[in-house]
Amino acid sequence: MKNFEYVKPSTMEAVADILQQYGDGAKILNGGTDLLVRMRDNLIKPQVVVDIKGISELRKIEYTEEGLFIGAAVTMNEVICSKIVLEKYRILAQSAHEVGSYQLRNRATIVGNVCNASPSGDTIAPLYVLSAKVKIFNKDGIRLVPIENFILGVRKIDLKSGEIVLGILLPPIKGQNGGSYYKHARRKDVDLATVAVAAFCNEGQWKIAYAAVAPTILRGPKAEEILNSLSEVDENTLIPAMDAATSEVTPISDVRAGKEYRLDMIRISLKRAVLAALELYK
Amino acid sequence: MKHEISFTINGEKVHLEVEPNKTLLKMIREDLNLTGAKEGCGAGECGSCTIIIDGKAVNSCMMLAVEADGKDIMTVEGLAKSGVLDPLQDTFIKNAALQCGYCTPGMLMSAKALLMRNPNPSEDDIKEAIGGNLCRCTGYKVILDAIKEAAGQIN
Amino acid sequence: MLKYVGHEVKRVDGLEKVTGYAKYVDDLKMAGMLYAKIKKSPYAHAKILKIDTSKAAALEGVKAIITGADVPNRVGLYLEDKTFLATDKVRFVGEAVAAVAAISEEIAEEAVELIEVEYEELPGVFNAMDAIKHDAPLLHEDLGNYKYGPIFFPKPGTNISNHYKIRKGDIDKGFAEADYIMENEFYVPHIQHAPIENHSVIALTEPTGKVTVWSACQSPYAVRKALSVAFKLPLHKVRVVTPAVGGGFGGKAGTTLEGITIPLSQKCMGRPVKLTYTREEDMVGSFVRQGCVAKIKTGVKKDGRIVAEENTFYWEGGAYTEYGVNIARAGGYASSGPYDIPNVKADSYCVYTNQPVGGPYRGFGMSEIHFAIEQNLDMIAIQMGMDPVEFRKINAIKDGGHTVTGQQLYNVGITKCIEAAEKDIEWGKTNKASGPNKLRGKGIACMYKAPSQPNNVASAALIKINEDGTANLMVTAMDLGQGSNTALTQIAAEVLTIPVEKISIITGDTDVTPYEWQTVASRITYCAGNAVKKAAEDAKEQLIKLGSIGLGLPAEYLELRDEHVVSSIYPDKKKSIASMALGLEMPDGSGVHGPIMGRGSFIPPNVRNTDKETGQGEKPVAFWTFGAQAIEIEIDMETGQIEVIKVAAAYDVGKVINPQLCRGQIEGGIIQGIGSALLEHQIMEKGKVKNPNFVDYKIPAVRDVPEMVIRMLEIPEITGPYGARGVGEPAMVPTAPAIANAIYNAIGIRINSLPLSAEKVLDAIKNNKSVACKVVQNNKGADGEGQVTCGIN
Repeated sequence: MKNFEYVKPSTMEAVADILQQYGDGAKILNGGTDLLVRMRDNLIKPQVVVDIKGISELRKIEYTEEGLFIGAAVTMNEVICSKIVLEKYRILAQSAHEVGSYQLRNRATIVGNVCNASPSGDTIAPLYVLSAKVKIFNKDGIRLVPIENFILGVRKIDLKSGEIVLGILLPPIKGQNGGSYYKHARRKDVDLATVAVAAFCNEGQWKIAYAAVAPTILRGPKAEEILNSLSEVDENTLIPAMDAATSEVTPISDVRAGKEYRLDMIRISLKRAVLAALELYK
Repeated sequence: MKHEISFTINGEKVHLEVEPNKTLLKMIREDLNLTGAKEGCGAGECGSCTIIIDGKAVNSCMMLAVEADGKDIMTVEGLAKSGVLDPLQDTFIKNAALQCGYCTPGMLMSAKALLMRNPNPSEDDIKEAIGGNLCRCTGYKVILDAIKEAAGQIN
Repeated sequence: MLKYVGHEVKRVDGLEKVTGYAKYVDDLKMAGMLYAKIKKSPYAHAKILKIDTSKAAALEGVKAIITGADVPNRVGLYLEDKTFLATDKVRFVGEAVAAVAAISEEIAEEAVELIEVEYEELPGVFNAMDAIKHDAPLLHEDLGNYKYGPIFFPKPGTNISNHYKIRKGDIDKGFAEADYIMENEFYVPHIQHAPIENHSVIALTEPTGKVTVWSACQSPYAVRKALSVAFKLPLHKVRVVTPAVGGGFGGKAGTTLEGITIPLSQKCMGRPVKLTYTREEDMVGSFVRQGCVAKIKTGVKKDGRIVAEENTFYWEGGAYTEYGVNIARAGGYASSGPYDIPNVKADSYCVYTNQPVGGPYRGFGMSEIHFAIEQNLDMIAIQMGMDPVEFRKINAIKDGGHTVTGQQLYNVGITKCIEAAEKDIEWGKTNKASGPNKLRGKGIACMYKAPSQPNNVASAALIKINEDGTANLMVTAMDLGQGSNTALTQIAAEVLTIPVEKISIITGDTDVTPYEWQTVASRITYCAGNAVKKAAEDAKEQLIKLGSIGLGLPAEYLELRDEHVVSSIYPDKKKSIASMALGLEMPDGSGVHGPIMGRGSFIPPNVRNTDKETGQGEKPVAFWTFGAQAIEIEIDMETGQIEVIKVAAAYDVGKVINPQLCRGQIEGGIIQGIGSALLEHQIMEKGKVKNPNFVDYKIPAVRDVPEMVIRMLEIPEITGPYGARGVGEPAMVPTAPAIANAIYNAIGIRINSLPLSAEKVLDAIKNNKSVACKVVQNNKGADGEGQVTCGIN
């Protein structure tokens, strides 16, 4: 690992100043579970590493009338154990539980997962179906960006120079709902998703998101429309939605799986995610 | 530029100057000569570098040494107290829950963190706790047995 | 009545390992230590035109740089075909072309980036079948000039580095007698050992020219020999020290990094040079398990007796086959599996390919050939309408039966192993699956394995009795985790009646501990065990002799009991071992004999060469270990995912030295077998490994563990210590074919290549890609019945 400057500011303003000063030469250190691996492999060689864990507001996880705010430095395990998450946004806890190992989840954060913008990031698809917004700080103020607009491509996000993500805002959910995340991987413990599907139903309206089948997480409008049109969703009636799923993804072949297999698995994952969501619907 | 940091490790206070690009694992092994924690992959996939920080198991290969400032760290060397083995160490020996021993320190620390947060874990809890610790020798069954026994579930 | 052997003695290395105290090479830190990094080839096959190290040399903190010119001597265990750094050309992606020693790893890494290498790319060969074509590019044009052992048969002018032949009986007559003749083909890809400890070496050159290496290796003496050849040093000027080893599985047999660190250390006199591979480097730059194409033609009688078999194995040996040639040989002399077949023709070819270097891997060819043999048997049995278990029992080697080399065997445990596995898995009973779209199935596979070692490999042990009655046992058998330190201590304790906790075992220092050929081949309990037993008996004999003088009783009425020489007639007449450790003190104050030191040397008895043309011989190996595994699996028909539910394993281990550790070997082997069956595969594109890390090379984790029922049978090997045979490697051999057979049992689909990944299984289900047994002759009906083109899926 090449050497660099390490700074640990205590205010957002200070972070913004450093980011503005160094531009691409500055990298945010949060959980570090992605950053350090990339630095070890010399894929990135930052001049300055900005540790944001000293900023207390980033450690907050709180529910207000605006919804649930999860600060940038809140770890996966904190989310998994959060009562409010388990009560109101269970699908997010479930997907966080799929990230890496237990010890990794003690460091890794949801916001880190989002900013990493990997197509297989486990917590991102649930954020899509929960209509999450990314809360971004810059010295002129705060802006809120829907997650779908925030993630632009593989490792590409909508952050301008001097900007930093404060956290994720999940709007309140009213009425009956249930959601589930189904991940298909090669191994049960610690693996990246070969494909994954997040399914969420609120007052009979479905939201579907696919992971690891395109450069970004994708919403599944066709599958959603079909599911919304069904009077009863079950193993048989949802087959057209499974077929639709294959038409709205563009997987590639890589070492984890071939394109054909991913297409097969997106169908099955959709089915399993939807049926599991129904089980939890209340 | 080196950074001055202070932390507690296995009950001892330490002050050190470290380069920013040194991982916590490297600092523990090279500067403190605590070589129990190992590097097996350097990428958070094998768990052999697992240590406990502020009561939580973490991969020390994926933390910078400077991040240890102000923390309370426990490594495998701190498990036995005054020459008395931790129950996990006893049950690992008793069950032959180790072979080459390279994964053992990390495995023990994952198990220790589990029992610290949950003294009465289910089999699933144990599997979750060590799911990120690879062992190529034992086939894991004896490790599960050892952790269960340390938790007082079997004798 | 044995007091230590056969008992669950606690591991003698347990305490140091649970406290983190055990020291592995990378844990060692020495004053003035330098750190090395290697420059690797980006090409699979290329001429090296020029290496410019000037920029790297100018970097502050760089202390030495070496290239192939610094290590020109060819070395190799069985065939001297490799150099430690590429010299004239590179032969695989990742091959070391230069190395740097610097004051820090970071500087060494930076220096490596500054080394400039000019290459001229050459066409490569990336599988065995392409490599044996007559117009294939040659990897080793000089093969004809390489040195090799007399039991190997390279073909200069080709990519074949060994062609091992078996010609048993009359193959034409055998096929003529057969009612059915069937042909099947199988493929096993490259996999990685993946011990959790990566390779690590420290080398130090002293002003006298003496070189010491601290090496994470399985075989200090074999390493010493190779280094002495490579660097033209006499053996006493090379010292190999091996501290704790973090798993080997064959990957740490032979030499790797030592040959790079030594020349660096020679340029930095007096400063230790450490080189530790990263996981990525380890997965590409150290040994891998060779790929293997296996073709089997079988002639069977209507009653199920196999009367003829023709096997052809093509081993994808990689860029250098110094070790791989012997895997091809082992595959040859075990080619038909644990079955008694009167007429066999086998050809086993070790083939150079532009891929990572193939080498020993737990099983030493047996996992690969049994994947073929054991599926082939099922395919034939099912084709003939026979039960796979019954079919195996019919053909299994019986007492007095013959192996493929014509060796006659007694005390053969295979049938008992089959029966035990059959019973424990509840053969014939189909269990209900755990959910919809899931199906269960059961499969069985057998195995046999002998230590693949030169005939006359030696082992030695020394025991020093201390004046307090404790003892020091010295061997160079390395405990790689398999528990040899404990088992060998138990054997010494048994003979000497000195408790295990009063014996210290010292291993792995070629200046101090006595000779051991290698810790490989599941040979240590047997070979080193015999040496230890003899050393202990030697010490015992000395003690009895002194006891006889001291007690005034004839030696034949004396024995060792509870740390004393005791009269077998008058139990109160005794003398402690401690009192005689430094010699016997006479009543007049004089002494006799001096310190008790036991020496034990062992060479497997009467192991002889086989005939060069036919491979036939009465005793080509020291002993055989037999075993069987029956496995129940569940298939998710929607995803192709396979879950192993239960494994029933039965091995004839001859004599269990330590039940807990023996079970540990078998359990660990099963899980490694499951990894190779379902998950593991070195994915390559034109020789470049695409998954050289644990992110994409998945080995089993805790949730991959099934229920395991382990049976250890004890049919003694008469030449083994207390009857023991080796079991470390056999433990993983039948797992993969048993799973493949279970898949067929569950869903009627035959998959003839590994891994049995979810993707491959689903593809076979969806697209009906089951490989059918190819019937080329059917004396009962028309030719070609049930014939389907044989291919690899």
